[in-house]
Amino acid sequence: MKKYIFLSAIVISILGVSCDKYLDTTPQDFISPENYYNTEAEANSALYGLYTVFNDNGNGLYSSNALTSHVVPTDEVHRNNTTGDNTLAYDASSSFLNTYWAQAYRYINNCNSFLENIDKPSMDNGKREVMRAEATFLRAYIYFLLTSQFGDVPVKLSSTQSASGLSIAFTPQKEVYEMVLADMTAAEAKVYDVDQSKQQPTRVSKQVVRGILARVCLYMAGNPLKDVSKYQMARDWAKKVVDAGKNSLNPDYPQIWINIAQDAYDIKESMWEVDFKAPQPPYFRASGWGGQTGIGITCPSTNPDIGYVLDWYKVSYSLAAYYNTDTFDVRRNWNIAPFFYRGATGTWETPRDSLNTTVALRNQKVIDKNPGKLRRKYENVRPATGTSGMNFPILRYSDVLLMYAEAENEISGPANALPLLNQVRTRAKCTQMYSMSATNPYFLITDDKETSRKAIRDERARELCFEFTRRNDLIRWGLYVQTLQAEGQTFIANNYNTRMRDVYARVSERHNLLPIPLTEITLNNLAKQNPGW
Amino acid sequence: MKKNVLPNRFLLERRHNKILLVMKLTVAAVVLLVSQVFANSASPQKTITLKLQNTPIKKVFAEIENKTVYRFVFNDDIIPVGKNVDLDANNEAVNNVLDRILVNTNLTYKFPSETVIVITSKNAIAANAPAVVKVITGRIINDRGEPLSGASIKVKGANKGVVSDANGEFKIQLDDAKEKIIVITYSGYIQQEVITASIKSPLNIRLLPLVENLDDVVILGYTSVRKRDVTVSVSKVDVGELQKAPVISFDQALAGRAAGVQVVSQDGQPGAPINIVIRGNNSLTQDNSPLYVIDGFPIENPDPNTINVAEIESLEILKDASATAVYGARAANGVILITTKKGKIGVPVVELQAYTSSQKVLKRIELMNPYEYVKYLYDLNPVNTLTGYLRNVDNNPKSVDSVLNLYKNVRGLDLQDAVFGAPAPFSNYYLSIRGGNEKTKYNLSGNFADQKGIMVNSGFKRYQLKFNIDQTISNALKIGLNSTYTYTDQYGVQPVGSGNSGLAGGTSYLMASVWGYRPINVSGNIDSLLEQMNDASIDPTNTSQLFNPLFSTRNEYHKNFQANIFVNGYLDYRITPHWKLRMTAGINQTNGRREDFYNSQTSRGRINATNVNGVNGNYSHNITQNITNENTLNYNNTFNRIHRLNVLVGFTNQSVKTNFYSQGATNIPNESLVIAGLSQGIAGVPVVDASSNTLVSFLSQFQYDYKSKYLVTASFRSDGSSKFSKDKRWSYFPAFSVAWRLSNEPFMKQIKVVTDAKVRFGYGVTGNNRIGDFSTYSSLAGGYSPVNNTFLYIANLGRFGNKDLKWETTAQSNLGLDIELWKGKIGLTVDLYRKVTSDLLLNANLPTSSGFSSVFKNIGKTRNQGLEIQLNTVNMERKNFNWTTSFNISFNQTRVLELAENQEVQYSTVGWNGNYNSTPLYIAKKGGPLGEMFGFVSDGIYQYSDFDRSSTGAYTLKTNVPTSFTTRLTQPNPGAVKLKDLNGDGIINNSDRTVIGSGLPIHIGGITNTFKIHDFDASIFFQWSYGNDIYNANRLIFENGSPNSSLSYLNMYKSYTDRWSPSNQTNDMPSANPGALPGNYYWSRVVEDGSYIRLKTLSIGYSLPAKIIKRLGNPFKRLRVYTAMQNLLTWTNYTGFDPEVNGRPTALTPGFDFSVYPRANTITFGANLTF
Repeated sequence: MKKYIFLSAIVISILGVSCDKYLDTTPQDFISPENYYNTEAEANSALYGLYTVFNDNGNGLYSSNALTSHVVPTDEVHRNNTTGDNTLAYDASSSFLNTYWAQAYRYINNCNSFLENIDKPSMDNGKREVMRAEATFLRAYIYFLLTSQFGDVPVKLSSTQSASGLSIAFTPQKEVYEMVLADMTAAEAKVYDVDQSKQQPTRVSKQVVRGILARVCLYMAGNPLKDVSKYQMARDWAKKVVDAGKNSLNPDYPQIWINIAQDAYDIKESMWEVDFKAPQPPYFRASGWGGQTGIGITCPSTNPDIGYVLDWYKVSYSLAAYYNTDTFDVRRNWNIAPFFYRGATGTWETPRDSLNTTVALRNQKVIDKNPGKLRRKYENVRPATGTSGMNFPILRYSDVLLMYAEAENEISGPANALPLLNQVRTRAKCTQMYSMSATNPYFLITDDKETSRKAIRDERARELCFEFTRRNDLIRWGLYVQTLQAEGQTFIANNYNTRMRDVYARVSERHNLLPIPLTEITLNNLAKQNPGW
Repeated sequence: MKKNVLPNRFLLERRHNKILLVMKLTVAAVVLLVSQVFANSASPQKTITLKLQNTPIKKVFAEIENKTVYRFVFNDDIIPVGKNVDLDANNEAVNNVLDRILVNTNLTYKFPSETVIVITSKNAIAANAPAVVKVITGRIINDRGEPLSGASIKVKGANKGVVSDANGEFKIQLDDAKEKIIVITYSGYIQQEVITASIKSPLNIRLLPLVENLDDVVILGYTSVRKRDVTVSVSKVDVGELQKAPVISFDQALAGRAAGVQVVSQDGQPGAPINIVIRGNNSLTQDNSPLYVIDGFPIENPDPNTINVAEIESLEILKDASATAVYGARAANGVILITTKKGKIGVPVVELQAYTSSQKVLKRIELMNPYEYVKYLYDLNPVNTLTGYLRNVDNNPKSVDSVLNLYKNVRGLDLQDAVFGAPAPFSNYYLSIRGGNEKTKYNLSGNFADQKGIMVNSGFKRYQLKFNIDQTISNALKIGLNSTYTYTDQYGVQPVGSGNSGLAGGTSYLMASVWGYRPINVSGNIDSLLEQMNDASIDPTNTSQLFNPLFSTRNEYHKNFQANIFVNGYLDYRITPHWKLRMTAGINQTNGRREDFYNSQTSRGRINATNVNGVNGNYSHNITQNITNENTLNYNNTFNRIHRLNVLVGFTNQSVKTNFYSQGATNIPNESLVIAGLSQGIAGVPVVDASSNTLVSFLSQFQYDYKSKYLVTASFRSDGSSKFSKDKRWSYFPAFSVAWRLSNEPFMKQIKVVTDAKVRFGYGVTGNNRIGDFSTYSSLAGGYSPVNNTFLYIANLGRFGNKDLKWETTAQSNLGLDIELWKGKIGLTVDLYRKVTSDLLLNANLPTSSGFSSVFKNIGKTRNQGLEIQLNTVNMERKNFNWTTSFNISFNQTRVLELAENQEVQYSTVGWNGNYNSTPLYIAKKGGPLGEMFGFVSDGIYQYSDFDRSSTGAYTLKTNVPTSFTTRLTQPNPGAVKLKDLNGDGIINNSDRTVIGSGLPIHIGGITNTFKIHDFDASIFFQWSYGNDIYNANRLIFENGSPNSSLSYLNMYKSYTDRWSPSNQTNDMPSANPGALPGNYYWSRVVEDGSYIRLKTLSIGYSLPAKIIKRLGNPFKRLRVYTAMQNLLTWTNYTGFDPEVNGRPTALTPGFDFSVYPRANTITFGANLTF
């Protein structure tokens, strides 16, 4: 009898457990994409997720490290160092490049996945189309960042599903730009208008898309594509922004930055920003450029009212020189901090040097100075610790005006361009304006295309310095290599800091494009490296 | 029928009483031992003091048993019931007492032996007077001559018998007329019948074990085989020798004990993780640790600290696939089978083991003294040093020297004095009670170990209680339970992996800051230097100040508690004599709790510019629950006495659940509350992880042997794992092995020297599923991100799940030879193996344009091949002198055959220093070995002769001499580190890197010599590793002239006094101030030969001879006192703390040393006492 009891026990134990059911386990502490996108709220979370491409945990495309590493030095800023990523010593194996590239493609994949799933939730179709348009725009914008810096890049328009067969051919830069243009143009029709969207300046509006389209067109018109027909298109998009009348310049230039420091959103001026927020814990690390590109403190302890700044960057010679044209320009003493912090607690605002001395001496000392655009003492969050929550402006209205002017100048010459330029200068409290003819003794005569082109370019440096558009501007104008070489000569000429000479001397034609990161070259069979790398 | 036979019930009762008695004795013995007073050992037990009133006679007997050594033997029926007695004895002889008690009864007594009192009825003796009584005395021993206590001696055909005593002795009275045969039985031994007519008393009976000697049985997973019939490759570790090492867990003593098993501990911290690799690493990125099977319970990563060495009965290591394949899916890395001690038939045996050790740091690094340090500072930065340490003297050699010389008499600070402190005690107590009869066997044991670390404020404690019982219910049915509860408490700073304060250059690691701390400050006041939290005045312009490591060791609070409960039950049912069913079920649950707290006196908790967290802390709780059920059906039969067959089929399932909870808080206001203060701080985001996996397996095994001459074993297992997608989850693992016993062939019989010889061959396939539980699932990573200054929930794609994942498979073939010469005087085992692992579960890098940087893929292939030799010899076997040697050596070679698609090399970095963390130090090339070190080849030092000197005295590098920088615009100074320009382009850049060392040894091994001289025993165990290199990263900082500014002004190793200087133009170490240096280069100068041979364990013991114990009145059965020394002597060229180091223990990064916990040299005194 016992025998049968035990025999049946084993039979039961074998059959009782249905193997496959026993082996079907499901994840308990994470959600799989298959189980998501059920509601509008979930779709919203996924959409906001796409925007983290810019601020994500220090790896965002505009986070402190990724953003600033490769755009320094230029003729506006340098880092007083001979080694490291900021010294043109990078190559394909540099990790910051791989981080940037990987981040960009991670979010391209996220955008693709979003676009593949956005039809799933049951929600208002109007809202759905807006979200689709935003995701399409973001993907195009990431491709724009990539192609403008890396040239030919792989284009992926669907999400990765399998771990094999991932080698993908590089698409020529021209085609990438065409795709960016097409996607953004399509998005422009559907995204919220500036007064409909509640989540600005983070989420893009029609005005933002138009402004970025103007930027894309200008890049296409410049080096290396030189598709000059795009000047017309750039002008049209910029004009649309201006004509809509929904944006305007903040009359007080410093106030733009005080607003940014205080999270007081001024979307008329600062149209699109990357949202950073401090203190970081317990949420995502979202500290941005304010902790890095600011006014230095020479004491080791932090004053909780000022906030710690890494003090990496110093102003270059040329930037100071650009301001010499008009000493009343309020932007000079704001953008080039005339003081730094020192003392036991860092409270003393100590002048770097007297700005009342001669121009020559000022120039010589200028490279000691910090970019002063971002001033942490205006931040609301106290104590101001090691990280700053200041937002980063991707697009400002003055940029749109200057792009408008630049395109107009290329199409029709100075006549229509100079008034736009003067709008920006007026706001900066400049006394000297640009004019075709000398109707006023202070006006600078700018009656040919070449002179006004130079005026617009210099104005961009004065207005947009440290917003890290300079490198790309110089490249599209075909001036990058020569400008940097000249900057190096200026360092020598002023007999100051000869080691920076070596840094600037490293520049060559290959630097017009960044090298494709080594990991991509190694693992993607169809990858090709940029010339010279 | 006469009933002067002991009923079983009574035996049980007596045993029960004896346990109580023994426990009392034990307590008494412990007291004796602890107080170190050995009291007068005359035998007071033979007299008794007893005062009783109106007590039943049986109770009186029990009282006498309690108070004396005597044991009563009687038949229950003859004791008159209701006849109570009074007694008042004061130190009276027992026989007098008995006389008084029994005066009015029909009973009489006898003393058949010194301690046994037999009570019989006067009538009975009278009635049987005519019978011829034959008294037989004897002794039962086993094949090794050891007494077997509790053996049953029965009269055949009569329900009459006795049991042997503790010395194996017995005495039985027989009716010579009728009772002709006695039967001796003892569990596990062959039953023996003796014809009484032939008996000449005293009788010595040697019982032979049922399955040979227990030592000669090898447990092979689900079955056990006689050692001589093994067809696979298995190492049986000599547990007796292993137990001589004074260590807290078995893995710490395993290195060098078994061929083919590489054991490397991370460092010398009590409770530190230990890496066991069997026959080389298969997997590149995944876990290579073997599967453990503890008392039949398979566990992938048990906490070795829960396994007390003293508890181990046998330890086997299954190495080749034909041995491990029965464990299928998880067996590719080998299997370690541990069987713990069980109860044994016989009177209860109480064993007490106690030892106390003193641990001293094995080695200290010599540092610069004040004179050397100030001289170094002067070389580094003359200007600053003149104004500080050199009291503003003029900068000329004479005046500088005069002040410098003053420092020669100054006492300097060496923080090693403070952090290592006094010798650290380590004490370990183990008490066990084992016993049982043929039906019930039990084992109860407890352990308490308290090991203080050699670094102050660190250590490890273990509390363990274990109980197991085996119960035979009927002839066919047997059940048992095995349960262990272990609680461990590890505490103190961990020097490995404590780089945390954000300081550059690795100086936040404990040992690095100990070495780097200044020996003297400017004022010459050492005490003030000791009291400073950070050495602020080293250099006021240097923001990276060194944190005082004494503050870390004193104030950092780290606790790691692990409570492990292990319960495993089984049921054996013999369906027919040949069919056996075994069902087991078990649960192993670990509840872990970790607490870390950084108060304001620690580098992480102090208030400064970069610390936004303030005083902070974190606790976490992890729960792992492992439930297993195994069912096997076994058929075992022998046909015609020559065909032996054993077939096993089985079904098993296992589930593992893990949960992890963690919560931290920052800016804690009241640090005096320590971890409880977290509730007042600012709470961080709680972390909650939960996961699970399940495994279902069907297994079968077939063993056949013909006359023990031709042996075949085959197994087949199929496993299903929840870790893989539905269509990939099942896999099949076949294996076979054959053996041919040459020595049984007629042609071999003539060679008398060879007593046994066997050739084996095996082949099998095993698997590995060591990936995440849900690696096949993609994940959405949630979180909060700022959108217009509010944090909104966001969801993004997280990990990429690869649905195509499948098992990693390892195919292994093994050719082995077992030879025994001169009847076991020499035993030799040689194994040759090759294993190829394919479909490697590799965390493969993906082109980042895919949106992911890596994913688990079945890609890659590795091969391990090698040779293992194990030699055991009996060198001398005399009556009072015995000398044996056990030697093993293993060679293993690992090759990477394939990597991920398009991948030719896999670089690996190690994290230790912000400047180096992204620079690869290890390389695995396709076709090459694993664990090779990668970097620049050192080429000495730039000498003056490498430069052209201009008229102004400036040095310019000669054009044919390569610069150590990536551009010729930058030049080194004379005295700087010089590197080989391998491609000859005049500059040093990444293309000049090459293989500069190998982290894996060519061979490893061990040799044990044991001696037995009279009552002394000694054991000497050496262990070695040959041909491996160690990257001594410490020297990158402490012998390097400050490669980056944040490390300037640290104290340096004493060796650095021999640096290059204009007056000492050596070619080894760079000058103190060599100018700018490439910051993050790994170079070959600090690759050191990590070969060593170490006198690992030396033990000398003395066992008290039986005669003396007897003379003492048998207060205990055995006493061995011993001393054991661990890590006594090491022969090595390695200059770091210890060559047994593996600072970053992964398959790809062996042999890295930076700021590890040093190893201890342990001297132990202990005693093992058996009652």
